[in-house]
Amino acid sequence: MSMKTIITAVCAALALCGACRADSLTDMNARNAKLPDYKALHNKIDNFSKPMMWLFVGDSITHGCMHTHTERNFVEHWMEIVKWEYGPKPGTRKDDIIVNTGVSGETATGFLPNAKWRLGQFKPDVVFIKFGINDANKVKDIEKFKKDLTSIVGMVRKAKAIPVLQVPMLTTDNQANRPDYAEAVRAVADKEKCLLVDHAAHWKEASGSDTAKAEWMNNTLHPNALGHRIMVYTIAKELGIEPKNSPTLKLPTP
Amino acid sequence: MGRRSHIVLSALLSAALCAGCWAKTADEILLRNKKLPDYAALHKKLDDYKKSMIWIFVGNSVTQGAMHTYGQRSYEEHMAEIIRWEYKRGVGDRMGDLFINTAESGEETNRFFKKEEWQLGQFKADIVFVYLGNKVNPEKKYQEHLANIVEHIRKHGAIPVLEVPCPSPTQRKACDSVRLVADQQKCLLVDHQAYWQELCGGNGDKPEWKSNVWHPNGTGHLVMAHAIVKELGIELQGSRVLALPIAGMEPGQAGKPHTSPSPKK
Repeated sequence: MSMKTIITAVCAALALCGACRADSLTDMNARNAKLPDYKALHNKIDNFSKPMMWLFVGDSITHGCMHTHTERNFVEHWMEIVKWEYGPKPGTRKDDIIVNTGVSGETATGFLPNAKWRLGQFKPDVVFIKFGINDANKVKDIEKFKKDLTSIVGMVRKAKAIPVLQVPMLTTDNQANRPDYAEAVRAVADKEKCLLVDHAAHWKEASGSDTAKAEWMNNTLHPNALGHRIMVYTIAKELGIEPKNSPTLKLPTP
Repeated sequence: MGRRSHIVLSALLSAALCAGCWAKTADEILLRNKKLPDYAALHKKLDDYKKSMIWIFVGNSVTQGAMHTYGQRSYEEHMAEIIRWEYKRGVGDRMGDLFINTAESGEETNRFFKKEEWQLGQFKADIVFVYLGNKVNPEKKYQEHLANIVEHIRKHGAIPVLEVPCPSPTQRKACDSVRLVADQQKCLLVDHQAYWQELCGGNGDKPEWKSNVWHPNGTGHLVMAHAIVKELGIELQGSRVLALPIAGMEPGQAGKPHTSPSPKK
């Protein structure tokens, strides 16, 4: 065995060992970093002369009302991060526009007939997509969910925007099909080579089970203000958009 | 009319428009707004639950709402909760509405026109709030800019709402300019300076509601949302946003909406 082979083997072992220790945030960031969309996203966000539009589509969790008890939701935290904290000096991206079209009770299937209002009328650069919680409750057809989610990704790409799929965070309602719907989002993201933010994986790591930490929830389905804080932390880490000394991301250590 | 009569009339008009003559309380400003066609138009839109609305907020660092709230919501974010969830029945009747904050730190009337397409023109706005103080212009020029902005908003088919800035030592003249333009343009007005003065007395400048001389903190932004709700007559039942405690105020002193507590039948 040549010295080169030995060194390669040792390096590979070390790399694997590193992967074993890596948490879900690091793993997901590594997965995303391999995709062309990751580079495209970072090219856009680091081009400070061109403002971006960030669009969020989703359900009540994206809507972000009531359950935060008047504190900021994860979309509003994202606005602070992008429009103020990101870049070489505060407010470098202050021209950016964030639009939240999430509505309470929405499903991927229900989004499609409303897509013109919630997506089509805008010229976004990035679209965050978060469905699954109500699909598992209301539609209960996982193949249809995958098909509709794929259609939404297609619409986003047709609009020349970068789609970011989000796996919903864990809940405390103990509904049996929740992990299946989480897997469905992951499967669509892999198939469509799509950026992914995996809230469920991160929450599972924190709680050590398939049930959300109670202190992050307002009720069985909805994160509270702290839960939303954790969500924006996950987004920042997994997309590799972490402003230095960000007060928003410094908040409660997950 | 002779030259002399013209001068006398102009002097009388100027006197009528003096600072002391503006509506001073939220109730008075609501009454003022109610007389305008835009008030009826706004409420007609609000009560048509089948049609979602786009709300745009054009402004400077105060409207952008970054940093100075220390992670709390800005007034635009409070308004999104109020309209998209709490409005009237408190069950999300207007949850399809979209709130777009296009404000940016340091923005002023001069620069708005250069960015108009990005900040306003690309959207099909129903209502546009404008919060732009005066940093560099002679008051007359500033007034011209504000009037032009109102005109542009109307051309886009939206209802303009001019906002008088919060109390600040550098914006005292600008406050009267905003009021003057709102009257000249028959435009809806939200008078933050007057509302803070109504609640606090003096010149209305309350340090507990500020992050620094110019910027409201989280509490200041909450007070701003109160002013908007009251002066535009937005009806709410059991708003959790407006029930939040306000530093230096007795419970209910600012938290009680002036508007009807019951939904229209």
